Amino acid sequence: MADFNVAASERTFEELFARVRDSISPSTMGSRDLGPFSVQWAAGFRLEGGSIELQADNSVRISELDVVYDPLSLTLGVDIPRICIGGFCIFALPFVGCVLRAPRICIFEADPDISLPLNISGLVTSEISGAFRINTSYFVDPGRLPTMTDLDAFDAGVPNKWQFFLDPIWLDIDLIDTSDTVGNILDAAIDNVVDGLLGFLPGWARDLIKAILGPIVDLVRAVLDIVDDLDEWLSNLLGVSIGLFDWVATQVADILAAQFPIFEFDDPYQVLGYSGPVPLIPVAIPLRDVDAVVDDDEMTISANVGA
Amino acid sequence: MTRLINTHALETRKIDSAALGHMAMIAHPMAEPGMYVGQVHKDRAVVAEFTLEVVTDEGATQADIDLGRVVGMPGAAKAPLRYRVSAGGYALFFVSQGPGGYRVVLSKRPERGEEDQLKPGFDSSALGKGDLFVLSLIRPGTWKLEERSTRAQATIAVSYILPGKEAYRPKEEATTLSLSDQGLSIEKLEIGPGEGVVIGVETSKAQFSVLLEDADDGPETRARQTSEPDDRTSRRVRWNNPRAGRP
Repeated sequence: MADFNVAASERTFEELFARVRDSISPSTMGSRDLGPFSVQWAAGFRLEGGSIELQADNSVRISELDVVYDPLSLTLGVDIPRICIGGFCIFALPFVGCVLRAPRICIFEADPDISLPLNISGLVTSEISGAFRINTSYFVDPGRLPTMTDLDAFDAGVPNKWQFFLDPIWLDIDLIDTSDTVGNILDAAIDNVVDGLLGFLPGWARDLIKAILGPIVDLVRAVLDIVDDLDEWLSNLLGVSIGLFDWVATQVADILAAQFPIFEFDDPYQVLGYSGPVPLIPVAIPLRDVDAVVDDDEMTISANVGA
Repeated sequence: MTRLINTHALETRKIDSAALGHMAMIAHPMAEPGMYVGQVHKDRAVVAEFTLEVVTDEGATQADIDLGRVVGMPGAAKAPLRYRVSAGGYALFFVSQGPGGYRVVLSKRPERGEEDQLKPGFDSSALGKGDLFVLSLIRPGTWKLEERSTRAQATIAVSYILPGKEAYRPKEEATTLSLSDQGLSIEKLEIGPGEGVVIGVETSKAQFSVLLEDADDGPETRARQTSEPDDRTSRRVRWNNPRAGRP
């Protein structure tokens, strides 16, 4: 039987988790050449919602934790084809066919490349679910000098701590929703960029080039290989090409397992602080054999008084 | 963002077969085998040369000679560009880059036993029988085609194309006309931008000019132009000099 036992109900555990959850906001950026097009990204996320279930097998189950991507900015680099005219038959012979053909002359002298900026912050969400064990860890503050006593460390705000982390057993991440707005933003971006590209031309030339290119939105969508399902394309781009979901899962796992403890307390633990008219030093007791176990009602932290 | 655009092609409003530029081509049949020297003139000066070998064996039926490239090639004068075509094929002259305004003179290099002098042959400022003058107009509006020696005239209406659901593709077949002493076989034609017009020359010393007479700037501009006069209100105020009529 341990000297001390402290229990936190599932409701309290939810509060503890919410504090950790709301502290998480990592970000990343990168770029990648994907052949027909390139992509640059700046991404970050925060976590919202989620339900907690304490399990009888000493684990914690977190379900439907929303990953809100903010910021999520993509810049797609797309080559649009040369715009050339000519190539018609000037002179044909019966039974032989065309013997003299006009050369193709390009109005654009090189493949123009366009950049499509897509700010889809807050428009894409994922869900994370996972099972975790409580991992107990002893933390020695790096700011604590070797010459400091426990009291000095306490006064300097760098005491040693016992910390309790959520160590993932497994994590699932699902892209659950891309708003229709993403499609509209993509289409508007294509129109704006092409108008900008051709903006210096007289109206008739702009109309002619756009007419030759055909519906530019369809053309760029084809280059991007968006067939019908924008959700699937975006999921593939974010998940496979950029590796965003892996990054999110890794970040969540690393942060919960080692960076933000769900609960912590000082060692030695203060049982009586500075109080009364006579300034006495606080009473603190060192704790050893600290452990946390979970059953389906509560999390219990146990400890013995150490030397 | 790459934005290399051929502005010369878009700004062309006047075409002259004697000063070849964008949107026009000249095809000359090369019947006789041999080595030809081509001189490219601009403003009465020779600005570049090229050679054209006409061979008897079957091969290319056309030699595409881009005068813009011939003139624009660094060191073109020292190492002229060489072209090759089969006898019976065509030398096709056009301009894809630069401002244009070129005249081409092709002369046959003398063979052994002949006088050591270039024999003047084709001159693009005076097209002869069998030559083809080819247009590929893109600027919407009404163009006036005129041949100077016969004073033959025709109008070419280039339609305005609005972007639509389907990509616009100019027709593969060119519209063919002929120029004889009686004039042009068609005097009025309508084409889409970038579609070909081929004029077969059946006379001698033909020289064509094509001028944009009435530019079509599209339905929006047309609507604005027709509505503007109706919106105006006459607000004429006459000022009378108070000293007028006084001594």
